[in-house]
Amino acid sequence: MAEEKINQKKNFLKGIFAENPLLVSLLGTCPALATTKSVEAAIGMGILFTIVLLCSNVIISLLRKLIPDEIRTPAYIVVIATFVTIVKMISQAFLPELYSTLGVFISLIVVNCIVLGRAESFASKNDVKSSFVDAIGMGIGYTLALLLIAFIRELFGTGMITFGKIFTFIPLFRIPILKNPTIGYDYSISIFQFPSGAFIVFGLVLAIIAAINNNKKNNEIARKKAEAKLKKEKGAN
Amino acid sequence: MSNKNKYLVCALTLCAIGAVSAGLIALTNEITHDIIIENENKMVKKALEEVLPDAEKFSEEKNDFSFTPNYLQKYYIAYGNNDEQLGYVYLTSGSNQYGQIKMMVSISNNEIGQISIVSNTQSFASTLEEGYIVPYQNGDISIEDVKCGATFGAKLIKEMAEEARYDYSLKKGDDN
Amino acid sequence: MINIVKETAPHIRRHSSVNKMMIDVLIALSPVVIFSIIVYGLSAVKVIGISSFTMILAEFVYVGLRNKMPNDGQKHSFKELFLFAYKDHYSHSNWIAPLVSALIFSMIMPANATWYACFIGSLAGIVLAKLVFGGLGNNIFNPAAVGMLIAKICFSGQYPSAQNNWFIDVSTGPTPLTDASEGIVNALNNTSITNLLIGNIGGTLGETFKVLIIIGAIYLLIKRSADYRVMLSYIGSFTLLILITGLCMKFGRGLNINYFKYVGFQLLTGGLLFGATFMLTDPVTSPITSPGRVMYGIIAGCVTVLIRFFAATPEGVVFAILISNMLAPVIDYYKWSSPKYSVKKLIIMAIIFVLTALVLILAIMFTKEGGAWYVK
Repeated sequence: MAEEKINQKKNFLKGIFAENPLLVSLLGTCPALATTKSVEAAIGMGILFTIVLLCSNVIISLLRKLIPDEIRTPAYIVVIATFVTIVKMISQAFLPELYSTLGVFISLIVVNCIVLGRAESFASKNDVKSSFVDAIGMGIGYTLALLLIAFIRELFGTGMITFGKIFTFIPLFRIPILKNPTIGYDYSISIFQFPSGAFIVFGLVLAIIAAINNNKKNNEIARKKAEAKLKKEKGAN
Repeated sequence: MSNKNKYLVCALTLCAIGAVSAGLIALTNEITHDIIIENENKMVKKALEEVLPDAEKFSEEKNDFSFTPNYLQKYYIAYGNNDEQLGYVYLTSGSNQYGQIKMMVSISNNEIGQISIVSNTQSFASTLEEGYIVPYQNGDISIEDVKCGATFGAKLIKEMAEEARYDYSLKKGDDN
Repeated sequence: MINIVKETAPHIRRHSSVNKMMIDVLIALSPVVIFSIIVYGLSAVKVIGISSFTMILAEFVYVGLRNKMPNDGQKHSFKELFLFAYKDHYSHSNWIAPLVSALIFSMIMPANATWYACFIGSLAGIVLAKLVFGGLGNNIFNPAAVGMLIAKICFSGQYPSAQNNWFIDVSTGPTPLTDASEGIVNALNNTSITNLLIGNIGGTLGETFKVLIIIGAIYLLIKRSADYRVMLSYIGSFTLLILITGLCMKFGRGLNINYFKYVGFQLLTGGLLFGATFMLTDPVTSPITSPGRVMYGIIAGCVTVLIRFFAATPEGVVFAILISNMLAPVIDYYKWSSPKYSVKKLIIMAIIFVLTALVLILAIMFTKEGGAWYVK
């Protein structure tokens, strides 16, 4: 069975827009609600996730002809778990603040539906290069979606965006927008830092994306109707 | 015959994947093991120093308490420059209906010193921090001043510090 | 020829229309609102004004967004776009309903709430609890309750509840229920029933002259704009459970309390009367059938008592209202909802009541000293 030539650019972009794993396929929502309390934690989670996805996709694509069909699920899980353990140990050694902030959610990447889903549906059927590009696209798409939710939650929940708490090689600096301790005003809405706020933000983000897509469709339909009407009027004259 | 072959191939493949994984993980463990232990020690030392800044080194954690404590979990003895005892640092953990508070408190000369919060899952955590913890750490209020916006949390912190002081007085009383 | 009309909630089986019901609620609310303005002055006007403005504006924007003309590549004047969106879609109920919600929301907020808390609370209430679900008639939860809770969670560290001393001062202090969390006997000794009735206590805007709430309730019942079953079952189950706990406290733990004062204290604090009259009887969020409404009231009563006894917050009524709202669609499920009382339904109601009573009795009798903080 010949494998068709895949347009790599489309392959890459589909992970960000058309098939964004979090906002379109609704996979991997558990870390999306738990690790998005701050922008830095979301970036950290996205980077670790992309590394795991990349390594597992490449290895599974390399081994796709050697693994018998009956044991493919346990084999994939072992490969993914290996990479998660390695990433966890490395982050515990070199980025200890990130490790203690994300805690158990690094280990939960093993059962993240996106990783196993891409392995099962894409990497086991396509060559190494496509799997590589697909993994990078999905990883970047997931990270961007996490960033969106984390930005809203941190901005409205604490009033300021903090950098440097987790990635300690950056000096600690804050961008005070809704809350400024030095000047003394505080307009932050702290419910967004609680889990209930996470659900609310996630729901609203999905609703706004659905509304934008609906709007595009409605505009298209209205435009076609108006053009048809104009043509009819021109034809009648 | 081909059935047995299939099982053999499956088993061998799984064993091979497992062996390679185990090897990789063992390699990573070798590289990172010492760094992890060193990081943990650094974090504990940093937390202890925050509470009692004059101390030079700390003993290992102990948890021999002469009574059954409500909040105390373990303590460290703090030593100064010439190995004299500066005081004790207690790790306490308590919870009320609003959540749980874990904190370290230093007792020296039978007086409650600095406190540093390890984790605070109270529902009004930020009010507690702004109204009680930060002023106490800056020295603006005394530990008895619990009438901030989150009175229950402040009372819990006060009770934990008082129990630490009680244990310190018992130990010092035993020695003398 | 039979004309079949598709209708959405509220499905009302009486002759009055939805508009008339809302106007009756407005009339019943007005004594409470006016009296709160008299007592609290400009703070009350600020709270009421900000929440009304926000809610009416939010609904206005929503109607426009929902019905806006799609972009078909041609130029339209602003007037044409505006009329397309609002003509035939914006009626009187689109500003009366938010006004009623805003007034109820103001009555359960304290007088010294900051303007930002009122704004965010009312915005969150109307958007998250009503507009997102589809506007009038489609909401599951009471918007005023949701808004008040969100404001309380986010901002209550910034304003302790206000205390009114009958036109004299407005100072801050604890409400009687937070007092009660330090020991029910002390709290009973600190206030009197007359004080609670005439509102000489701390609390929200609506907790002033309680007799006005009772008058409003009677008006709504006479005009048949509120269902008596919900009110009766709620207050009835609540009173019975409180009596049971009082009996336990006196005979089981030996606390010396006066039954009349105890029951009166529980009934007149925490916004119970206000919630029972105006929030629980809302026809959109309560079940359709009569036995369903009785069960709704019983559930709300049981949950209120449980939260008052076991949780550290004096907001038992609002949480109970929201939990009962959540269960109203279950009560109305088409497979078992009917206007007839059946033995099964009565058994279920009895089971709920008896279970709650059991939990309360066990808790009061068998917790160690200082365990259940409420009983000291």
